[in-house]
Amino acid sequence: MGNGYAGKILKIDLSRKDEISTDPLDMKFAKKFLGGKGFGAKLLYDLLPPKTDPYSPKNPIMYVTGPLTGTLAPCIRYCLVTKSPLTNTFNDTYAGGDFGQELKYAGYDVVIISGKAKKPVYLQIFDDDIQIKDAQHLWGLNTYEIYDVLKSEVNEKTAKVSCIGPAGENLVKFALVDCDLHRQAGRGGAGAVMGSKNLKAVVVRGTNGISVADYDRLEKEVQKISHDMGITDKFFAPKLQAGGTPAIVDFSNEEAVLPYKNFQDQTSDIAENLNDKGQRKSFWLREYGCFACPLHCSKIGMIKKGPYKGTVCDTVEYENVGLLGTNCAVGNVDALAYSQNLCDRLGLDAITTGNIVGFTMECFEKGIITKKDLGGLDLSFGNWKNMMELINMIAYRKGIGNILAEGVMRAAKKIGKGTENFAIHIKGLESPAWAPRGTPGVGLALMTADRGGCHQRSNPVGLEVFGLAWPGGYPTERVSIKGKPDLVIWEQHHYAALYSLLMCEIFSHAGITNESYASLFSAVTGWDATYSSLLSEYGERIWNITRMFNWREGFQREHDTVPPRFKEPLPSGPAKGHKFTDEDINKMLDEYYSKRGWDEQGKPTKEKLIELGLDSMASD
Amino acid sequence: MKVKIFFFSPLRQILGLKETDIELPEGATVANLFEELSTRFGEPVKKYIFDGMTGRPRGYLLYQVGKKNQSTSYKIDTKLKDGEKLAIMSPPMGG
Ligand code: SF4
Repeated sequence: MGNGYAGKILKIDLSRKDEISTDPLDMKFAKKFLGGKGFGAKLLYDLLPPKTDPYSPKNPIMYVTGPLTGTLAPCIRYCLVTKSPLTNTFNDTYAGGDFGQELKYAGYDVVIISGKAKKPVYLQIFDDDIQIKDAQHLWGLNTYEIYDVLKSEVNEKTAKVSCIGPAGENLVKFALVDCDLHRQAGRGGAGAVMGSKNLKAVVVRGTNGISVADYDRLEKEVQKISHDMGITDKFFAPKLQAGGTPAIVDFSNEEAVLPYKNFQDQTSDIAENLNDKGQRKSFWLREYGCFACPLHCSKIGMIKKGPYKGTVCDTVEYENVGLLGTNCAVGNVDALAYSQNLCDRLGLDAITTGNIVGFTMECFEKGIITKKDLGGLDLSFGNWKNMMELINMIAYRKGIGNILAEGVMRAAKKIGKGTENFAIHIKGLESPAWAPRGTPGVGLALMTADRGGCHQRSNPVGLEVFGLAWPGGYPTERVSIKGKPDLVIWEQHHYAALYSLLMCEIFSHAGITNESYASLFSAVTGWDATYSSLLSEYGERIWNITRMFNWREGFQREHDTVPPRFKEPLPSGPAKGHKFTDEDINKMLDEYYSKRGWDEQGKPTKEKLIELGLDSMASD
Repeated sequence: MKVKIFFFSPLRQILGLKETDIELPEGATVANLFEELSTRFGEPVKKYIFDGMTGRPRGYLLYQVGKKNQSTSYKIDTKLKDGEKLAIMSPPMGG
């Protein structure tokens, strides 16, 4: 076993109870693909035949850790990798908490689950005692209810649980996987893939250690990180720690990148109620954090008044403020907190849910969907009470919820009447709360993200707004397309490499340097690395694998675009009037493809794949 | 009156400075402070704290320091107090 890795891949075929096996982790593979996203990308590419139905038993759901997971390295997450039923693209989705660490302590770098159980089951992984257990009594429970039941059933209080809610069971295409109660692997419908396998939960307990190449160096690096963050001076980047992700709202609203009313505008006067101050005043009680996180950006709270009084809830994360809040014109912070909590319990990705509720509200505003279609609900923008009803209808596929459960792209197609013009998605993944008119780099990042409209592959908004240079790069002008392909390419490599190490991107804004990630990696594995070598060696390679996966599924240039709404001029804010033109989109794509060594359609060339050591893909 | 400013990313790196004291006339506002910082440190600071397209000062960059729950309770016309400690930093961009 190599340093930093547990050394085993666990393989489970749910169709055949006796098909549980382990493969040793090939260290050449590890050295070439790092972990996390890199492992997931290569494994999924190799395992899944092109055009396989995401709900086919052949589509694996993989729990993937990385070399830093479970070590002293702070704030390391894990990911789930599968083919997305929402987009049909490669899908990697991340969660913090401590499930990933426990899995690694149980002895596994990766768990690959394929097949389909005949009846609902859950998987119990206690070191090398692996059991597929009956879960019929758990089917129907929401993600909160299942924890206590499962923990007492396995008689292990310290076990960690990852599970789906009713939305996953009902194959809602954007169902999430809940992890350790307060963390969600949200995007792209990994929960629906679990549901398609009749897999309700995975419960894990591990008692092994992880060997580290140079413990002293690791310890020193962790101390340095604490120092860099200012923790050692008792003076810390106060906003992030005190405010968590809702601290971004003021920036986002003032710079007009925060969606309002289904992205009709990008700024509003209701956002101020929903930021960190608004949340703190209304319901926050105490802080908490993921495994080995000195930052503790999350908060636990309880709604103190109104119809949802007494509901224990988490921070409403920035994305959910933007989608369930301003995008639906919901300015009531208690209702917003409840709506996020409802999505978490039902097992719905709150980003997509907020997007699709906003879409339905606009359909209602335009008279395309009526009260009759909604089972009597008035779904005007801002009607949070009825929003909760609609969220339930989606999770249980009731009434119009059955159409909306397919995601905004398919729903708009089905509803017709011009609704496709305001269905806000890219490749079927609903846009995040970073509305891109006025920041063309964000637009390019969304267009080219490997799992559809996602900000976690590149989100250059800060660098664009402030005109700052990226590491080794140069400054750009906010609304200009000049330089944006270079900026997005750098950032996509940054995320591809660091998501392979499973960094938490919230923590990465807290003062930790990029070089620290390379140093942590070297200390743990004993392999030399610098930040720039991580990007050039791993970032680009991994980005090209996911592009090849999507290419094989039929995605090409025509899919690298923005929704029609972003081609309308922005009504207000500092970048008022800005829009995406076809000319600008094409110019950015031409430059982006050519700098990447891809052809005009956006396919990586043979030469590029060979240069990246991906020879086996070069003939695909 | 005097206020103390702590710089965080990216100004800390750009200016090579962690903190500084700024003298301001009695009754000065956040906007006055931003102007003073721009005069003192020039273009890089000006570009960062004022929007280049509209000239709008970016009030959200300024945070209170030393309180348990530090936050931006400042508007651009908020009056500053003598001895106040403030931080200027970029908002987090994760989600
Ligand atoms: S910064 Fe927040 S999300 Fe990231 S590891 Fe820490 S507590 Fe978890």
